[in-house]
Amino acid sequence: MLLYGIMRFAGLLATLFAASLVLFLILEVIPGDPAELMLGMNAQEDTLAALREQLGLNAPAFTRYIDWVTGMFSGDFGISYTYSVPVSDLIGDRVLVSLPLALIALVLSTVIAIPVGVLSAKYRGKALDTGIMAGAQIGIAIPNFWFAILLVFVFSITLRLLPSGGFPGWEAGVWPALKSLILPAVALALPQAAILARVMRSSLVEVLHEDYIRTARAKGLSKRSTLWLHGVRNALIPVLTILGLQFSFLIAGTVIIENVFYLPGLGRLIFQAITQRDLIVVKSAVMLLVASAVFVTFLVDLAYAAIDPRLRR
Amino acid sequence: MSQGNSSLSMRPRRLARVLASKSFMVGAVMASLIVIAGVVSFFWTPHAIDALNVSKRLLPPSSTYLLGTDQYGRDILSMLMIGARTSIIVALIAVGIGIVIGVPLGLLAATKRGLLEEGVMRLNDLIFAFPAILSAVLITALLGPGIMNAVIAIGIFNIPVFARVARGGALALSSRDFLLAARVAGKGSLRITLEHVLPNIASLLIVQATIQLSLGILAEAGLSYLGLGTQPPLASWGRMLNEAQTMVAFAPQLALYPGLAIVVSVLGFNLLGDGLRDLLDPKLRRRIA
Amino acid sequence: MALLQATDLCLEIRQKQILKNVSFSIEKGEVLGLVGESGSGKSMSALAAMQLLPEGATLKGSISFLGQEIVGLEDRKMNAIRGRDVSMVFQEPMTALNPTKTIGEQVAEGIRLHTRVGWKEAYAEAGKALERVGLGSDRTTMHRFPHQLSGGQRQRVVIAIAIACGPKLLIADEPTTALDVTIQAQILTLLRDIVREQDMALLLISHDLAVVADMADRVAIMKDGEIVEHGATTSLFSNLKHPYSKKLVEASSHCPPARRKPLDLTREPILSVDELVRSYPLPRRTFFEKRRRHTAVDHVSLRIAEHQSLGLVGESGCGKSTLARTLLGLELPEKGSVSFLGKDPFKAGGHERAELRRGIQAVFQDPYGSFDPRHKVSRIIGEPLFLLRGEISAKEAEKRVHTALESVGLTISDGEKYPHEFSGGQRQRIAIARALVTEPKLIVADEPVSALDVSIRAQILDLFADLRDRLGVGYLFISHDLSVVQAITDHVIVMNSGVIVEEGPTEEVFANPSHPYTRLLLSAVPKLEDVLKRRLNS
Repeated sequence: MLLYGIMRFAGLLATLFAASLVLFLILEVIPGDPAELMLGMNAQEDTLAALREQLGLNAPAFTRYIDWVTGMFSGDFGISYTYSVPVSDLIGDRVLVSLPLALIALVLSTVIAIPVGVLSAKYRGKALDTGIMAGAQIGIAIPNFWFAILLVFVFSITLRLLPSGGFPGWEAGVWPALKSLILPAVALALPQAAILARVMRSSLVEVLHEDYIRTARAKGLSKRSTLWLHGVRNALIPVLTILGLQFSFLIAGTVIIENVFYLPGLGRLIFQAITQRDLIVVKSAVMLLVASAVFVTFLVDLAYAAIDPRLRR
Repeated sequence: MSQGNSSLSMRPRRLARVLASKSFMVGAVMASLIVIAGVVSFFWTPHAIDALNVSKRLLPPSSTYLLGTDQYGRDILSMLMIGARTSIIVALIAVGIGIVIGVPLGLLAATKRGLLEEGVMRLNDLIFAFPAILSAVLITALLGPGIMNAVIAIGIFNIPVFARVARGGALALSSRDFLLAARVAGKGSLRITLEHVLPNIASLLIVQATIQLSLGILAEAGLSYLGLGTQPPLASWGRMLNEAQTMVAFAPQLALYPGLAIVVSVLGFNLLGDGLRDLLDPKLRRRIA
Repeated sequence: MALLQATDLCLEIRQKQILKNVSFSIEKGEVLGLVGESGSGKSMSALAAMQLLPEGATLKGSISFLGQEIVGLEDRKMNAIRGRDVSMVFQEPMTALNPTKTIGEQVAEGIRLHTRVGWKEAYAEAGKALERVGLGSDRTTMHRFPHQLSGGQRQRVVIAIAIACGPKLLIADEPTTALDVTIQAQILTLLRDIVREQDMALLLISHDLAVVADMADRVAIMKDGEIVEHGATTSLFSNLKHPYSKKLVEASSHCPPARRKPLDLTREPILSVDELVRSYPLPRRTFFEKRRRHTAVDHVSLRIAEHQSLGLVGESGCGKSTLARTLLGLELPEKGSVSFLGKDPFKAGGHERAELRRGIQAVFQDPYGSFDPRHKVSRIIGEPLFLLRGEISAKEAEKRVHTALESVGLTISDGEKYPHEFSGGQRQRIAIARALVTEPKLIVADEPVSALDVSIRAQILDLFADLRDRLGVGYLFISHDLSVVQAITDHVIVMNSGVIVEEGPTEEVFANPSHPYTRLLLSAVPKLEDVLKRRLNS
């Protein structure tokens, strides 16, 4: 178990290192002159020079990379070019919107998908199963931002129950803040739940055909106990993989959904920073998103070992 | 001997097959509807969409404008047809990128094993760490928004997907004796891969391609919605949704049509993939024969 | 009153008749053997007795257990009977246990269910059951997971689960088919002892006549869903009436005709192997451990003369397959030398190498997995002609494929079909045709008949003998099945843990085994006639 954990952690570090290198190469080395990229073609030579000075672009790429990485470890993400505030402050505020949003969506999709998937597998081949799976097919096909627009039309414009966008901030109280996250979270969660339910069903159906399910029945366990005690637990293993991957999709989804609802989250920050060509913000914010996705994958790997003893050595 | 036992684990094949062919049929109809609309749009659309005509804005459906017009006076049906063309071309090229680069990588990883395999798989993990939209956003940051950049971004994300499928399929085959037999016949690994492995994982790849096609359509819509994908004057479902969003209180139908178009095409290709998977399953074929 | 009485069972699964009027009964403490080939319905009869038939099965007839009718019995009531009064041991120990639960947990689960005791007492009982099947009851055993056990140990756990609540009837469906012969003997002895000790009835299902004849008090022979003949073991076998039973017994002890041309062992051997070594790295158990290696083939030497048929016997993991793969040029030897037709195939290059390779061809075990399902039979058989590319015309290649088809008893039109259109025995003929197409001197056959039913097996062995006499090919015949090796080979080598422990002329080795391991192997697989003789005398 320890060896497995260490190996996975080493994998995590390696992926992070590679990701940071890729990011740095894309944003600072390949474009040639990042300052020109940020200011555009017809920028004045002296403004360019000033920006180069501010970004430390006169130093060799290797030094700049090391500075960036060590900076991030000490919480120094540089100064935003457009906002003129430390990037860490910008990110800090935005994380408080994006993280709760992603977590609510993740919990919501799991809570919906697992029972629905189990139900569908239990009644496989019956009308209930066919109905659920048809619904899941449609759920997968619905783009989250379109679903978001529909939700806004129904719940904000027509029923006037929930805000159509914006975020009052956590200072305005927990409920008003949460209220403005409900529609975005639902919009994010539903298509994911549809995918997860399908995976849960097919995984459980597969497990229910395993020989050890028959062994359990031969012991005298009822169908119901067999399903829960021997089926669901083993069926969760592939579901976990998808769950880990979904987190990274959820993070990507926030970029779009935060734009639909005008939420001041990380995704919207990245989007705005890109349209304003604020590469300093882009670099660190994207790195943060990637790091969180990689970290979740690491957690999933550990959860694997907890469920599947074959992975513990 | 062993057959007698495994029959307990026989799936309800007959039912599955009926369902499979049903989903294949429904999927094929939906997908070909979209494809035909896209192809026809090359030669003919009910109206031209590059001329803005404010006097004809937000017209209700009529015999001239079957689905009405948008806030700039453009014919919605024509926009949808051109949007279908955009979606499918973007998704197809992106799938092409994924197959052309991903499949050889995956097969290489499966045949050579060892360090090379480890390297290819880590590279895959790395790309997986950058979700499609995020990498698209990054590529756009570098190259500026545009349809080609969207294609590249979605295509890059397809590479590890196909590499994984190809590797998994090849590894599943690797224990089969017919590969040993081919080696006994003196054939090298490249020849064996081309003659035996590739044809046997083709059905897996085809199924994955339809799934990636639908994901590509979704991704293109998302990018264009953000303004990073297709640029005007070319129409795209995602852009239509973006423009419709501000009008949703007054003209909700503007948001309805492009969304439905996306759902129909994605659903169509997904169902097609599901149907194909069951129809192409060689185990199933053996049963039929 | 019989413990279990099955009357006129008719089973239909998706419009297919699986059982036709099957009736049998088992008395308390009695062992009933059910024999038949694949598809005879013997496993389904067992599952019917457990009421664990697959979905979509319709069962008619009656099964009464202790006077209670269980066909159509409510599932809730049947749950109380399963595991407590009737238990089952399955064929595949590798998949019969839940990989994510400890074995203690899996044994205790049934005890808790039927006796309503706490986990602690259930674990204590589970410990007793595990001890009874020859596994320790200490904490380390109880806390192990299935993947940490060998196949034989897993089958012991499955038996422990089955006997934990002291059932009155134990059903064992091919309990030893997936195991090595020496383990098979241990498991059978264990089953016999437990059944005797606890006065349990046993329904033993097997394709192996000798096993059933050895274990059972009464035997029923099944074919195509019907019981064709049944009776007390010794009297049944000494007086078989049904033609199918006669054929089955004949096939199981079938011996192909002896070699017509005598061997000339004085000539230079076609294949000689000297001190061959092949090892694999093992996965590290801890991070700091030095990588260890498993020596699969350890300084093995052998000779095969022209036309000779050499048998290689050993259990799984003894290195026989690794040796075969090395001889076929699929793996490089680490140390030692191989010489085929006087040349080293690993040093030969280009043309010479192709020439050596076409002289040694292979037949694999799995008649399903050894053909590309997308190729036609003629293309499959013609594949080794790749070694003759540029030397023979397409026309001649076609002719060779036709000759090969005909020499294994298939027709030329069979070449236009796909492999899935053939039965298991026919597929093995196709595999042999493929090996013959380059007109080799030697065929390496790795377990070529293990996956086949006995009657088919007899036919394929006859084919091997016929080709030996007609075409003069030599064989390296690899098998775990001693009777097969005895039937077809001139010379035999016994391997254990990568080392040759005994070798010699087949007759001599089988008559007077000198190494203890060979003796163990021979005693582990009884022959039908020996078993019957012993039972008649006792």
